[in-house]
Amino acid sequence: MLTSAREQQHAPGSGTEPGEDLSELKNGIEVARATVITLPRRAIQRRKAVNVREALRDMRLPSEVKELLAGPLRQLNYAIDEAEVHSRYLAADVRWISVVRRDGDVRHLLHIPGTVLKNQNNVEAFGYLRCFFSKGSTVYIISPKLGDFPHQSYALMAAEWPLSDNVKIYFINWSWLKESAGPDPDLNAFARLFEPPLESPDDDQILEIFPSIQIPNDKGGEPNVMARFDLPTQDVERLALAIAVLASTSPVGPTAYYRDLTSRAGLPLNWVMEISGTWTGNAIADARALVRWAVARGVNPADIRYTTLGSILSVVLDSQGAEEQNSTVALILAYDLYRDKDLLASLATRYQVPTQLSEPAAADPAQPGPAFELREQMGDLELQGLLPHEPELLDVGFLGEAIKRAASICRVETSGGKPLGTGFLVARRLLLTNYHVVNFAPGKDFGEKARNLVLRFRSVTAATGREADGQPYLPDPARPLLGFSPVQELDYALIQIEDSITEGNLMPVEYGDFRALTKGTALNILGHPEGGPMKLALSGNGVVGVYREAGRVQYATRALNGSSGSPCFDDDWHPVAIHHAERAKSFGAVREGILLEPIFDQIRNFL
Amino acid sequence: MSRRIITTQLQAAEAGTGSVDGYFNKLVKYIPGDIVGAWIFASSAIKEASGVPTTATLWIAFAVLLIITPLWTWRNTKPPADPPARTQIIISTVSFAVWVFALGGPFATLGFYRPLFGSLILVLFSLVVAMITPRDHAPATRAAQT
Repeated sequence: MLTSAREQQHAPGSGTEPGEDLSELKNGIEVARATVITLPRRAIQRRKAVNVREALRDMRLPSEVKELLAGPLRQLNYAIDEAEVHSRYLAADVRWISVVRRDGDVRHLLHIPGTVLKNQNNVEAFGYLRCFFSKGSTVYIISPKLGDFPHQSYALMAAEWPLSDNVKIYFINWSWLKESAGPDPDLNAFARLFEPPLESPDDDQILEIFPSIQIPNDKGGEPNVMARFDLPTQDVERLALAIAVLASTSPVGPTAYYRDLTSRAGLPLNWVMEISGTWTGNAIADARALVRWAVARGVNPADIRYTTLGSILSVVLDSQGAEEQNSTVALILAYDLYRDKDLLASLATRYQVPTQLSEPAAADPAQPGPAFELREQMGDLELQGLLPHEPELLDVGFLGEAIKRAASICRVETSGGKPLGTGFLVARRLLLTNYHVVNFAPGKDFGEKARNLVLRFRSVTAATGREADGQPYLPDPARPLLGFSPVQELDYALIQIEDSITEGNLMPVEYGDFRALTKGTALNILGHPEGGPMKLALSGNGVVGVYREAGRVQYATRALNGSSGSPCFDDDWHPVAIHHAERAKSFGAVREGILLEPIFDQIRNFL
Repeated sequence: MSRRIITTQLQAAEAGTGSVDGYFNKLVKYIPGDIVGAWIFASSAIKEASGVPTTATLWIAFAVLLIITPLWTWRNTKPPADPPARTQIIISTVSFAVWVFALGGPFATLGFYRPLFGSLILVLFSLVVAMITPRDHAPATRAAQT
């Protein structure tokens, strides 16, 4: 970035000759490059404690340069104070400050690597750099490749600086400036690169001036924040209809729905206010107007990872049914309504929307990589080995069985709602869990502890992303505890549940052959790790040892605190053990469960 | 972090957020760092002192700390309901002796002693000792008493 104390008089369009202006600018930059001064990182890293004099002393500069640097360093102090939360950015990535003195014209150059500007997290911190530039000054934003210049920085600088500080901004391509020192460029055409402000030159302009430059792709890199996109009428209608359905069925009515929708979409406040007065009460008409308005707005400057329409649709998605969600997601993906590639990929994965394989990235003509030659013919399997492992393919029928078994499983809580562990139905009214899970409940004796439990079934993550309330049941107040075995033995407690549970649609687990469990077989756990919503842990060959005499089985299947009392299933979804502990080994740890066979020998009379 | 090596962790939600001790945690817990620190201080003070039979005093200090080590480890690994951590106490005591041997101390006065021996024994001991998982640290009573 380059700013000048005299830039007001040199600004393009101010009446001076463009060639003269550019010549000086070019020379200034060349001098600047020749006199780059490294600001010691430790001076910056002192942040609030940085002292201008100390910083200057560290830099070991001639006195006249120190004098010149005093001003910017004072400003740097200010910037660091203000940007305390972004100190990493300021400490690590602002690398150079150089000063050029030409006939009393002082220019300051900050070198900020493109990778920093590309990082969205730095955008806000980047805004603090405004304090380097006085109000009303002209700032030249210099980027090695304009096509790579990050759109979020455009958004920040183009949208905010001119408004708040009356700063004029010009985008300049460093490479072009360097090129201009070579074969005589057309200075008038060159000057057009600086006009108009707040926009990048389009590809035609670039080619007109430097025909030899190869444009990386049709769009010249990432799109400008000011760019708009088109949405075919039929897709506008599809989206409008989807939104209108939600608005018309909303209990608060269409107008209130649209107001709520736009306020929750994370749009700039002035935009929300702007559109809030336009609602007519006609759900479909308002939906069309909203979609067209959002399309015309382009990128959402409040969160540049989204287009305005994308921000709105991200809220709409949460309220839609599965089929409508797929349709909406398909449109988001088709038109890149989320501008962040990671967000798009995450969306496609979450909704299982097939996406077209992306084209391989075009080689950068300016920085070609080293020549690569595949010397040996590699077999298919060998080539596949170079790729990261793909996620395991899971049989949907297998998962369907897991979901059926989930109806038997509950989270064991105290009456105050504190999670203790997991339990599962072994009969319509009988729940099996660990002795030590019940033992954590409040109460004087073990029977009273059992009476103070709450058994919450179907506690899973709902479509809203939050945990569902589930179906809570209480132990039978007359006889809550039918049997138990202490931790040293079989570590189980058999709880009798209140009679009303038989009216629900909860079913006990289905038993198989307990003896089928052997080393190397599958063991899957359904439970409430960390006391959260129900989760499934799979392991295709997780059993590392079966110790029938001790009534124990050890396995590698993942479990956490809160998993105690979870049923351990074999590959046919028959319960074989009840999880209870983690045990250290020479290296790492294994999980341990109590085999159900000896437990069932003791509780068989109750089943 | 408890000084006692956790070999089994019941996994009720109320059992806390801890987990069993892995290789590196076991290594740290087996070495009585505070006793070794005391030895380094004491041996330095003895060597600096004048008018004291250095070798004999070093042997006495070593013997005293060797007796203190199991008591100290027992005290620091003693939850009310659990049995004594016998394996950890024994290994910690041996660890102290190995560290003193590696540092030289009174062993340096013996004819067969070479600093290389101490270094090699320390490296081998540290590599192997953490693979030992105590068997006498059952969590059963701890949970049952909760």
